[in-house]
Amino acid sequence: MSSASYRLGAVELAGAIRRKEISAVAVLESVLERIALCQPKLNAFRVILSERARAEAAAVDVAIAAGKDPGPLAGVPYGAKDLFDVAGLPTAAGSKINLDRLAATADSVLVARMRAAGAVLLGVQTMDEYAYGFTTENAHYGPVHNPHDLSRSAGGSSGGSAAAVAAGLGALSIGSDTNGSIRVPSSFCGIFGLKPTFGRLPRSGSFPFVYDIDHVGPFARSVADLAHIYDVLQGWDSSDPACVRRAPDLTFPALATDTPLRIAVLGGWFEDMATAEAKSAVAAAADALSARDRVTFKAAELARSAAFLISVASGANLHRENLRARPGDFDPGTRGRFLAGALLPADVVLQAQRVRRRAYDEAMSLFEHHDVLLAPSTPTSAPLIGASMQVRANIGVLTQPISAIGLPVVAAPVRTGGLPIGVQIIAAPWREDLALQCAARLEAAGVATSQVVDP
Amino acid sequence: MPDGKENKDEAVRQRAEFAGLSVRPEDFPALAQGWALIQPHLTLVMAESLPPEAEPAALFRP
Repeated sequence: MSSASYRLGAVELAGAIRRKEISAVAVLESVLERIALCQPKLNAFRVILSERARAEAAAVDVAIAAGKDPGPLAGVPYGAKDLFDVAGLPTAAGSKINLDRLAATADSVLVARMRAAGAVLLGVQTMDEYAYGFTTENAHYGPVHNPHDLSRSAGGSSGGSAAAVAAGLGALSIGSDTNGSIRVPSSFCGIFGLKPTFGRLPRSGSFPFVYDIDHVGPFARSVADLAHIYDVLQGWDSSDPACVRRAPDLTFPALATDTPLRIAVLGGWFEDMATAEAKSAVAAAADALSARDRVTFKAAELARSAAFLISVASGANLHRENLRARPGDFDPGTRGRFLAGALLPADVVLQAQRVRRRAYDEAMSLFEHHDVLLAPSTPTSAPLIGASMQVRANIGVLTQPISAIGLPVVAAPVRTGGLPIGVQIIAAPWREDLALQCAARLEAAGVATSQVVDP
Repeated sequence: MPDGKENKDEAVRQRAEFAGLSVRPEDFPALAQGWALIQPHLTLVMAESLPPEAEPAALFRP
């Protein structure tokens, strides 16, 4: 079991470790071997933290031997996107510039919660510079390769986090999503991802991109694992001003509920911008769920444009000092957009924020008649590495309208042909439970599945 | 007479200076590409007619 334990999911691993069927250290060594084999092909990690991981795994085994509760994710190996603070490392956020910052003195809140739950941190994972991209083609650290086809993009900006989970370099990972950075790489790498409601999970100790659209969330290879890690991560934190003070709504215990769900497919923009393979994935999901209704989110295109403008202006403002002082140290892929964003008039950004509010109001009316909405995660499956910036900037065309208004989404991997492609399962604010239940039904029907891929 | 492109470049340079950025000549192609990506979104959003009651989404929460 130990040599192939990298193939197991988080719930299964934590159970086996807690029952002493396998040690956390043995699981970790299996995963570290896997990383040694696959990292040169994938470039999923920017830094591998073997020493810390061995100490955390050993601590889990000691706790179990002492009869203590090792936590719900006992010994489960995972990775964190390179924008989460990890004590002892500068938080690069995919940049060269941030390496000049002091090392973090403490773990980010989500990493600390994972540690408290017994999870074992493997390292920090490659991302687009400052989370501004959809393909993780990073000029400083190289591209992340898709485990399904090494010539293709893993998606971004959390590309390393998704590629790692898809290839078994950890059972779980945590990433961020401002414009699609969890859902796009989930789609391209064929795994599950959850972008929770805006304000649900604290971003404390993570490097920002767009203050009022940044979300953080998990990746996994099964819905049960996704719900399990999400439940561990929930809870208010005072140091993130956007984090809403509410009690955790645990989702794992309710996954198997058979409460009827009113499900509709999003038409209009979400069909117009999708290729045949993306539409086919949604159709397969809709068939499995007997979803016959079709609704239109008329403001989707506007919401997407508003998100684009707010993102570029916020990013430019965030990086203004470095754009002034050392523009040549930015990834060329981000520099031009940030410079352009710095020139946007305030009037434009305010208009975008007003448009965004109107889009939110319209979307809320859709949930009066439906619990869950289905749409493709990406217009296509993974593109080849090296696509033009015009192509790369438009990969989030179907995810941006949803994150712009903060709705919770599970990205579920569907395979109708060669490469996997994701379906967004979108719910009303704070109803992650419904999106996860819907994903569980797709998984049970064999429509949305994910196994470890050998790159 | 300067052509249209020179006028546009000068306008961008002036706006960048106003923003406190000195855009290096070698950054103009990247800036132009960035602006080309922004332009259609700017046009779409600014064409939208909103009533005075349409308040912006906002980060600040009392």
